[in-house]
Amino acid sequence: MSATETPSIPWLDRNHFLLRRMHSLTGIIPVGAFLIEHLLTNSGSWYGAARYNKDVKWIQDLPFLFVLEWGFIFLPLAFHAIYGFVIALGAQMNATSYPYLNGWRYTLQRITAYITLSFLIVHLLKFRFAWILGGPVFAEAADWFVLTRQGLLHWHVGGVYVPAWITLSFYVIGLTAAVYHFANGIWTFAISWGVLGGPDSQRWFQYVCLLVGIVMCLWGYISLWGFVIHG
Amino acid sequence: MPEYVTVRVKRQDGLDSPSYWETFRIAYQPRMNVTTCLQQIALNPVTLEGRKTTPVAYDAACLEEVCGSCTMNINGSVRQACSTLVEALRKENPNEITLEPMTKYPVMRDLAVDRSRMFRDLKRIKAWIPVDGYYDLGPGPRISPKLQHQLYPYSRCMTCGCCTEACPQYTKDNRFIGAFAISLTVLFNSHPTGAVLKEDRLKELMEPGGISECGQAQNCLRVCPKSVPNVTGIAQGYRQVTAQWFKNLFSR
Repeated sequence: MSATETPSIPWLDRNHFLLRRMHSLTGIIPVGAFLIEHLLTNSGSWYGAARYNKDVKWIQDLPFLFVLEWGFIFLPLAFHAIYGFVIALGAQMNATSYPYLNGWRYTLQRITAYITLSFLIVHLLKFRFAWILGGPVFAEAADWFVLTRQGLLHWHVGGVYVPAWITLSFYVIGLTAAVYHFANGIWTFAISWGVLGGPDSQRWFQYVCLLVGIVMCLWGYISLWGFVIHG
Repeated sequence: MPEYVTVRVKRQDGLDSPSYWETFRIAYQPRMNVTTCLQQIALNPVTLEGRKTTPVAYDAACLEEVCGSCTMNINGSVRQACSTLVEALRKENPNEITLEPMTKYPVMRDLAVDRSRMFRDLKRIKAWIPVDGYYDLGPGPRISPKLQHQLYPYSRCMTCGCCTEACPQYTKDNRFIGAFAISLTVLFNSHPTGAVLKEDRLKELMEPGGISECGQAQNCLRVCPKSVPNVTGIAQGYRQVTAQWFKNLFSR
């Protein structure tokens, strides 16, 4: 008789709970934390080019920026997006059969995930990896403020001009989706880490998350508007 | 009062057979429920078109909403045939009643489904108090009235499967144990004697198909016919699992 064979459990299954915890955590820290930082820097546009350029320069001069950017933004974001996509694919959305508020919240969390991911890919290819989708303005722009303003109001893709209202609407939708996904994510995070122990605490905490979402949306719109008004 | 009730039933002859629809018209009786409709169809199994057919197969046992076996999709939402009154359904759709089997379990025939997955998952989380032995274990520990009040609502679960049917995360091809099993984990973990199996249960909740499959859509709370506090159950389950996870990380 041969020794009893231990059935090999796939790596993903062996580390299932850890991966789910990391997916939940990366959504808040660092991805959500970076969203707040990003709004903070960009809302400098409200005070005009000089202030915005000064803040961006401060970030550009941070030590080990490459490690910060890849280790704390791109890699956690990629993990959150890819693993989240796999989870979302397994769902069977049914908010039309069971039209309760939480069912819609659940459905919207997945819809905004897809919108945010598509938005982020375009946004990154346009501003961070500008040689891919940035258009000609990126070679010519005098400073970071002009560059961002050009990218929002005079964006060319493959020689075709994208009207400013389309680009701005795209940014408003992308921003709103990202903020919803983050604000609702704080709520689900607080439940799945055992902080909110029942429906009553979940009820009052949802208003905290709603407030966070509204403030962050307005904050983002102000940042966008800053690039429009300072020419 | 209407003279007739029109009932449209999604039928299926066997496990892997294709499904088809048949419509029946039966005489209306005051205060009739969906089980009465199915009994009337069985008395005279003739479709609306006048074609003779077989009686519709369905599960039923208690006829008073305590066994959960007659759970099915009635007008597209999951509930028990025995406690769903035709009068109430007429407010949703005055023209007809549609009956479909649950979608998350294999259909054995017509409206009867095989819910043994639920039973397997109850065994998985050890949904029992371990009191069996070959000697007298003595009296059990006292449970305070406060704890009794907290736990009683969980014990109302009749394993009907409404919570799993309405759950967007519970699908035919995944391993999610569903809201009922998580709530029952909390019930048995909170019992002073049941708590000896607490770590075993929490280990299962951390496995694939465990509590982290929950997407917090919370339909499980809304559809539960016995008002089991599934949202509290899952929140408490998450709290216990988080504590256990940190304990596993740092205390060995």
